[in-house]
Amino acid sequence: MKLGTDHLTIQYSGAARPALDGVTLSIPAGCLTAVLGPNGSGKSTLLRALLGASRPSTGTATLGDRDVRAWDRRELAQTVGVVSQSETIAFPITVREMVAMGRFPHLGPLRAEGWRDREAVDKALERCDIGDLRNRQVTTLSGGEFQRVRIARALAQEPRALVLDEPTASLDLRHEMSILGLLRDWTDDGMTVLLITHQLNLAARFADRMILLDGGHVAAEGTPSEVFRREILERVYDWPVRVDEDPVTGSLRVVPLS
Amino acid sequence: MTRSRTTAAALILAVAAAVFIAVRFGSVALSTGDVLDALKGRGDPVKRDIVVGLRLPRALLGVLVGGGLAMAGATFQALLRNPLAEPYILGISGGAAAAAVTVLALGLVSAGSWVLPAAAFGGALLAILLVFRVASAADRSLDVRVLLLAGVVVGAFFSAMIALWFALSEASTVRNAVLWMMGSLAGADWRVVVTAAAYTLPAGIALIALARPLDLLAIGEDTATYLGANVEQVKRLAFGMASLITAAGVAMAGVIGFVGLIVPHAVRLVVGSGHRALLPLSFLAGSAFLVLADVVARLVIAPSEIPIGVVTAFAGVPLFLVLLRASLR
Amino acid sequence: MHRIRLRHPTRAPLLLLASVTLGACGSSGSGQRDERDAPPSAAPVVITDASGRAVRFDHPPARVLSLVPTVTQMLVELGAGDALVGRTDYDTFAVVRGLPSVGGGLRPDLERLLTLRPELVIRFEGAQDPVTGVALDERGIPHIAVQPDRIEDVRTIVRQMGQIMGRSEAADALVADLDRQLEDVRALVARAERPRVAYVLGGTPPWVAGPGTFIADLLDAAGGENVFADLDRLYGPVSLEELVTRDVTLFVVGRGTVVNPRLGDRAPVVEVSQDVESPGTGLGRAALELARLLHPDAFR
Repeated sequence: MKLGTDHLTIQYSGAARPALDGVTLSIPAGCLTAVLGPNGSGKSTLLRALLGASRPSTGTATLGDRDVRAWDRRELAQTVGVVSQSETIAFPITVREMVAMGRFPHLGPLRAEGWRDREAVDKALERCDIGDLRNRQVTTLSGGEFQRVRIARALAQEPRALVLDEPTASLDLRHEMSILGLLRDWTDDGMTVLLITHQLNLAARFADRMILLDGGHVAAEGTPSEVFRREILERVYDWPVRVDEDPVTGSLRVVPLS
Repeated sequence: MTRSRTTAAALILAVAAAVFIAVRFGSVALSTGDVLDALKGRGDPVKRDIVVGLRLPRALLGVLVGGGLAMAGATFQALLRNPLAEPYILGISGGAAAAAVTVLALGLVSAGSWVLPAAAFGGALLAILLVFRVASAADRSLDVRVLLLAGVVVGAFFSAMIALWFALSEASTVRNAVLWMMGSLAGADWRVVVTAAAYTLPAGIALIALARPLDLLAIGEDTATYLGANVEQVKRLAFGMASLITAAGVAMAGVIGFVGLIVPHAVRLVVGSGHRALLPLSFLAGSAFLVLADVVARLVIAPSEIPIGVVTAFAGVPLFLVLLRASLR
Repeated sequence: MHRIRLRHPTRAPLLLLASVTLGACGSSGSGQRDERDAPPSAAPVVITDASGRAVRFDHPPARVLSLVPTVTQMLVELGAGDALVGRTDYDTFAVVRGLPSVGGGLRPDLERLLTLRPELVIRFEGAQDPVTGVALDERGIPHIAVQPDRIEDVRTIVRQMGQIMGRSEAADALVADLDRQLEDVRALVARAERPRVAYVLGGTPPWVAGPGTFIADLLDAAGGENVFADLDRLYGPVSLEELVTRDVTLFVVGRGTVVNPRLGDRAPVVEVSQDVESPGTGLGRAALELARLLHPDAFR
């Protein structure tokens, strides 16, 4: 399932300049695309626009071949699974209950859970490697485990695309690597993955394509080698950097200079 | 799932037992035989009147109000994503009480026995409307923090209004208003029961139909949207139904606290937060609890009555602590 | 309180003693007491009660429950005490103490009330009890609301009770006794200077009796001037400032009322028995007691 925008402009009322200014880009199906950029460059706004959660001032955001805002809410949720930046849990809930919420787009408010739904939930739990946590209270989990529960919930939707906003922001190395590894595996299996992240180097290592935003514009778009150019990065991040190749992984690496 | 089935069966039994106890015992001593005869329509007419005309409608009102408040409490807790939420948190009790005190102070109750409940109901709805107006003036999307603040502010306004009436009124009016505010099932007759049922049951069924979206909303509104729920519609409907149930309860029985706050938490300790189980089981638990509390309120200092809100608080706290400890083991 | 006809000479001194003692509790002499012994008359009666409802009685009710203690007393004094089937917790006098209680007069226990099978219930007028009236109406049990604000209301209620119970002549006699007692008191203090009095009911801020209350009527009969005759309602709170700055000669309170000691700095505070706050047939005695307090010289 591909996503894209066409001359998309979003300006919040009272703001001096648009959060996104005439942005046209495409996120191809079956790829892992990372969206990068400094704070305030429009990453979150782009995410919300692509999900139909905010109305463009001009231009469109598309999902598949249609304007995303023309999609039926539930149909959209059956197609795109979202893992937002954070969640706080106010009431006790088990892992399985939380992952099972991912079936809502298919069940609606009234239909009872069937074997298909249980199967989807079990599969999601397995793919995120949290099967043996299923009866645990969510509040007793570590940060990494909790994040995997949220991703499993998105998977339980059986979507064709996954959109994640800073999924590894507060996680330690091990959890970070394992989640990115999962995303990479699923992409290889055909999932479309869109990832907002701060982590330049991890993005370069795992993503097929990158989009670099700067002040509401697309500063660069393409493969890591197309985007990780010293002059582009220095301009966007306003900091001297050096770009080289990591000797062990072979992926491009950004090194900030002092 | 089996756990909720067992709990449901246990609670249904509890409600039936509570209603039977409420009908069996009262300030006038009747034998079990008397009571059973009365229920079958036989025996001394005064005893029949006491059992079927006084005790039974009062027990049923307890079922409706206790169950309704518990359900409304669970709903508000989900909508506001706040474990401290309860049915009166958005100023409903303040509005109802202010309207009731106004009617009492102006002597309007002489126009008919329907005036006081109707005013309380109207006041409750007015409070909700005000809260929503205040909240949407600040933030069109009805953010829950804004709603809570608006509820506090509107509640404070109505409290001040009540205080003003108290200062200007005769002592008997003040005493009357305070007694009304403390809550009582004493005014129950069949007409009241039918009216309460007409509001509580359909609204309750509507809420149970919203159980899954409420699960999602209890996690977060963004999450709920991304999972395909129509958040605005669900919020409006759920707030509306829960407010209606609460308004009807307050109109018929005054401000009975504690039930809407604690019963949902107690039920969560047993069956978790899934609203498909939580809502109906909260109804049952709230019913049994309030009916039994009313028995205590009626009998302990008979022929006088303890205000039922006092009993719910005194009984509820230790009960809840026991449950909490049991669940933590 | 019967005055018994003297028949046997040996019983005479005892009966005389008894009747003098009893008579001292009741009103002073009259020959028409015997009507209380006569059987009740039986014609249909329509009473408009204090809430404006018209209630019809085809014959005197045989089972009566009064939730208003002063009316309970009236009924006994009218000779209709046998019809009483119950009382409230506040009916403490001996004649009715043996009757079953329904609890408070304002929110009586309905189960106990119904068990008494009353044919008439007498209740307080007003919004104080939203439940009892409705419950009685639903069961077709007649009820009368009373609101004794002024002495005139007491007269009305006595007459109404007399009509309902078929003892109109006894009622007229009671009213006449009351009026005579009040007249006697007025005569006693007619020429005395009228002290400025405030009747305080307690509370914070303190509540006082205003114009149009039976207390105001009593103060007037007892030869006093109600300082708060300009109050905008029957009973209301006044600030402590008002109480100490107005020209008050005497504060009068019911025994057991808690009042702010500051009042005592301003003017003497005297206590009267709680009966003064009870608007019924005992008001004549109450007026006498008040007069003694306001004009001690007139009684030497």
